[in-house]
Amino acid sequence: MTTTRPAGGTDRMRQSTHHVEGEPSPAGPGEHLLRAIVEACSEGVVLCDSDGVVVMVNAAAARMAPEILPGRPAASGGAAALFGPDHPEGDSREVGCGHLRLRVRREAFGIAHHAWYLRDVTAESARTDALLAERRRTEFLVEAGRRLSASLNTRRCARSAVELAVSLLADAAMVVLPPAGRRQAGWLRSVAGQHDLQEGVVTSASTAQVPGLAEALAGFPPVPSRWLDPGQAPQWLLPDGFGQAGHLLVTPLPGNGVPAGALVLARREGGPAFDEEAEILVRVFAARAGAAISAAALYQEQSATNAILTRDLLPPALPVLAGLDLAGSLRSAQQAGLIGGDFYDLYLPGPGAAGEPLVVLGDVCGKGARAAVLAGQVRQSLRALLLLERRPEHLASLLNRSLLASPSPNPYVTLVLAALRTGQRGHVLLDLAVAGHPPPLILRRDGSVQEVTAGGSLLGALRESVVTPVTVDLAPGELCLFYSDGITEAVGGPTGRQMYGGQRLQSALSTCAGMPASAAVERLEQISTEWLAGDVQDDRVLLAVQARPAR
Amino acid sequence: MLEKTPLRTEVQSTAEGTTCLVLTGDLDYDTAAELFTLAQELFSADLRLLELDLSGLDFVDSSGVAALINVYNTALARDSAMRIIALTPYLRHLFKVTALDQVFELPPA
Repeated sequence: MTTTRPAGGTDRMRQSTHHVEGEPSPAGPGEHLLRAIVEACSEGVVLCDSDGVVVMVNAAAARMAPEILPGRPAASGGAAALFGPDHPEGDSREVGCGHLRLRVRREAFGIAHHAWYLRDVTAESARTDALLAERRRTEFLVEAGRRLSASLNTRRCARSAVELAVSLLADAAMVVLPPAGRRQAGWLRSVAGQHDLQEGVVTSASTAQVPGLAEALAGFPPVPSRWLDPGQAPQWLLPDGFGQAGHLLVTPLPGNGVPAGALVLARREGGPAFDEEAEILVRVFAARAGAAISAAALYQEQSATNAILTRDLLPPALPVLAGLDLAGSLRSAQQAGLIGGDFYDLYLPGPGAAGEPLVVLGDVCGKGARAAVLAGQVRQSLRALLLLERRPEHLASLLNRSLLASPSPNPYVTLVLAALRTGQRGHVLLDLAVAGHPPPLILRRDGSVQEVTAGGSLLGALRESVVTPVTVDLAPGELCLFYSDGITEAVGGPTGRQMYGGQRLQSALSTCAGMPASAAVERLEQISTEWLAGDVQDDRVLLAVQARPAR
Repeated sequence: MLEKTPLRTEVQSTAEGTTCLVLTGDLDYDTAAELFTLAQELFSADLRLLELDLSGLDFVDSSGVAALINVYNTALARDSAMRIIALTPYLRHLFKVTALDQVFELPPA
């Protein structure tokens, strides 16, 4: 490459090729050819001399920055931003130029010339921006999924939803929950940059004031934000000092078949509008928030139902009776439900009705809710049978027949029935029927413990039940203990694999001599719990009847 | 946590129409259904007498007792019989408490 064929080049062009003079390639391409190569280059090339004056601009560069003209300093006019004087050699940086985004690189040629290479990266950087935005949206949805699934409480789910919404989607966010029975809808609101959560209620009529809200609460698909006039938003919608809303977006929160509420988003006047991508993102977010809120609502409803059903299965409060004290303890294996197959109950004769109080303690085959339901049925059946029959052994027999007719798959029950009579000189007499149940224990005044020997078959299994009645006489201070096999068959102890057994229970009971019934039951329960050492296996129930000690 | 031993069952045909079922392990809430299902299969064949060897059972709870009652009732309903040919002292005590010793055919103590 030499200057021997300068045709078509300017003086400056000749200068520009000066630095390559003397290269050992006399037969190299001529200037025309070189110029053609530079022109054909898709990268923009701007060649400058030592003063920074442009000596050559190829077609690509002229297309990207038309204001660059040969003979003028490159860093002048509209293109000044492209060519920084302190741009390091060989480095690239991205610069906005008009509506384009250009990557600019500076290379030096010899001592006098340098060239700027321009590449149009507008599309590329738009793709990168789109990717980053998509990643932000994905991260947002992941975070939303994590936070929304963390609670089964409607209010906490709604709170998470508005807090998440103001982190990315809007300046203010409100969740309006479906109107409850009283024709009022609860709402929760959060504002970007503010930590406190606002809450309130509006009447169903007021929800109609917000453009699109009544439709969203009815579960209709959302309308584009641009159709909603933010000027119509009622005052209660936005917090004091928020200013005028510029853009409004109202999206239904889809639930399980019925709407779980609506999400109202507001951006301030002058802020960006909700574009199509934002609306899609909000819709996806609303689907997740709606699923979380409706799951929480369903859970709360079922919990409330559970609580109502469980209430009747819990043991009754034990009243103070004439001449005797009662104490009971029930620990179910299933802590969550507080219910199980062990039960005790007390039946008092109605006002003015004859008869003695009757206690029952029993154990239904099986565990958990299923057993608890059968236990509830047994208690209820006894209440009805007591209207006709008060003798314990006959009650057992009637209950057996009733259980045989039960639709439950394994309606097997063991129980102790005791009619409580007060005798002479503070004595209490118990007429007992023991149906397939571990024998009751009697704690005498001297600390000795006796086992009640009366036996009988378990109920619900055999066509004929045989129960032998027996009467126990308690002197003042003496106590009769009923318990379930959950106490005696508790496996634990020092080795963790010993069965507690009847013998240990008798020994423990003998140490309770002189104690009031409630203290004795508490102590036995505590010993049993320690024996299990936290490993709850079965329901455990204890009930003590004590002839009131003489003063 | 208490280690649970699974229920193992071994079926032996001792004579024409008689099957002996040897049970070992725990017969409880978790395994009771296995016994009942197995017994029903056995009774659906031409079985006159089911013998149960319970001497290898470590633990039986109320569900286990329920399963034995169900097997007994199934035998009755099919005009067959159930007989317990061996059992542990603990089980004998359990049958006594529930008065099942008057119902089940047990080996002499």
